[in-house]
Amino acid sequence: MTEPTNATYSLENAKSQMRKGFLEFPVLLLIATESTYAPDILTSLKKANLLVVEGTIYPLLSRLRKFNLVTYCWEESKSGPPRKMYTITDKGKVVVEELQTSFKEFTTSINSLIKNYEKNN
Amino acid sequence: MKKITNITLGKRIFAIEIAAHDELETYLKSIETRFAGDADKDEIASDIETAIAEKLTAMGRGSDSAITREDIEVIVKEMGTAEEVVGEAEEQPTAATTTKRKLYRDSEDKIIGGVASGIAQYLGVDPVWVRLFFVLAVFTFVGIILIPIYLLLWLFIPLASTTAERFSMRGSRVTLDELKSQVKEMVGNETTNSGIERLTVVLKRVFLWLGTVLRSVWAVTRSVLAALLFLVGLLGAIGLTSMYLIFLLADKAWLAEGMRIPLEQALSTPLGFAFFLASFLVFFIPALVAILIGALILFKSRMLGVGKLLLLGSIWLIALVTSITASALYLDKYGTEIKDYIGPQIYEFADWRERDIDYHKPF
Repeated sequence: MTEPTNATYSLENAKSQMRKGFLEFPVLLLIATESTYAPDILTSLKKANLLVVEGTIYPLLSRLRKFNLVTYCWEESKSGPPRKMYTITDKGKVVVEELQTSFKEFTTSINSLIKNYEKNN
Repeated sequence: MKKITNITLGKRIFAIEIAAHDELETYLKSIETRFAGDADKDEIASDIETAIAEKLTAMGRGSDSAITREDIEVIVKEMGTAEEVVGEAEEQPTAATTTKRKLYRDSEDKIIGGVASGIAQYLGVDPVWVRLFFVLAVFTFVGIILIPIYLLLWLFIPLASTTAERFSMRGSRVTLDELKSQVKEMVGNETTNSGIERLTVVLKRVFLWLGTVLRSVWAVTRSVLAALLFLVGLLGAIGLTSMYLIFLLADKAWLAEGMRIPLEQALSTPLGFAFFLASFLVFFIPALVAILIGALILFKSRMLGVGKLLLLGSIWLIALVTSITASALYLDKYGTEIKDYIGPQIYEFADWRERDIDYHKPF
């Protein structure tokens, strides 16, 4: 067994670990709700306090597109160059359904653990 | 008063202070470096550029209101540094620093073809040791098979030419931090003087010298070989053409009757003529290719491309099949006649002793 370290536990790091790999689901969910642009996705994520830095979204969208979960088309914009409008694909819809189910199960079990903790404290 | 310059970002024009420009450039470079191993790196980089441009427009910046350093700092804070962007986006934190290692030839460190340095990068050792192994092995019996193996590796291992390929050749993405540590290492190497490192330096010099010698020897050898190839091809083509012209003009040319008559007979049938034409191509195309390859090396001409080579190759194959088929069919049809006619003449020519067999049946 290693000695416990004196280094301060980084709460930010823990939160970042929680967000890691998790961000895909809310992004998919937003695109599945309605076709949307990256800035609008960012606004929603920020409102929900799910995002720290905005740059994260671009590699993520690129990866979702690579796995053919989302697709985009160029939409003309009145106030500048065309923008990418992201739309969910059929494959993406299936993934959203599956993630939704497992996330609901996940929240139920975490919530019951939290409730149990609150009861005993 | 501050000096400004103009840039385009996400297809929009912005005025920007010089200091801010440098900062923005560093930021965008660091993003690109981070995603160098990603197949969609260009798209990610351009997405981020567009997003920054939109932010700047929203901040009221454009061609008449210059971007300041403070603006860039705000933007970088909102977008996140390259490390933060990757850290949040990656599924596994470790995936950011290592990519799957692939075997490439090293374009920036080569003596002959960059095979040894590519293998060294793959194994994670100094190229000097792989080269030493190759050179020592050439002088043993292994060398006989090693040289063709080297040539095959040269042919089949791709050259790492793009940044992304060079990263996967090394098995790591080079980040700004890693670059700094590499520079430190290089500087540090000059002060450390352990035996093995001094040997490495000496061997490196030897191989560089060897490389220069080999390259000049090869340049001469290549020209001589190319000239030979060109000459042989040219003589072959001329010889072949005149030979076939004589065949074609058999009735006018002076040919021994024993040869002329079966030749005329053969050329008068479609099968014989097809064989005649196809067999000409079967020999002529290799001569032509030899001329073209020779010319390609000698004069750096662009007469021979892959397309032309493939076309010639397919014509050659068709000609080969045609000539074999035609000759087989021809022999099947007229074989006995030819044997009956030519047979005795050959025997005569060879002054065959067993004259008691009567070959002189009428043709």
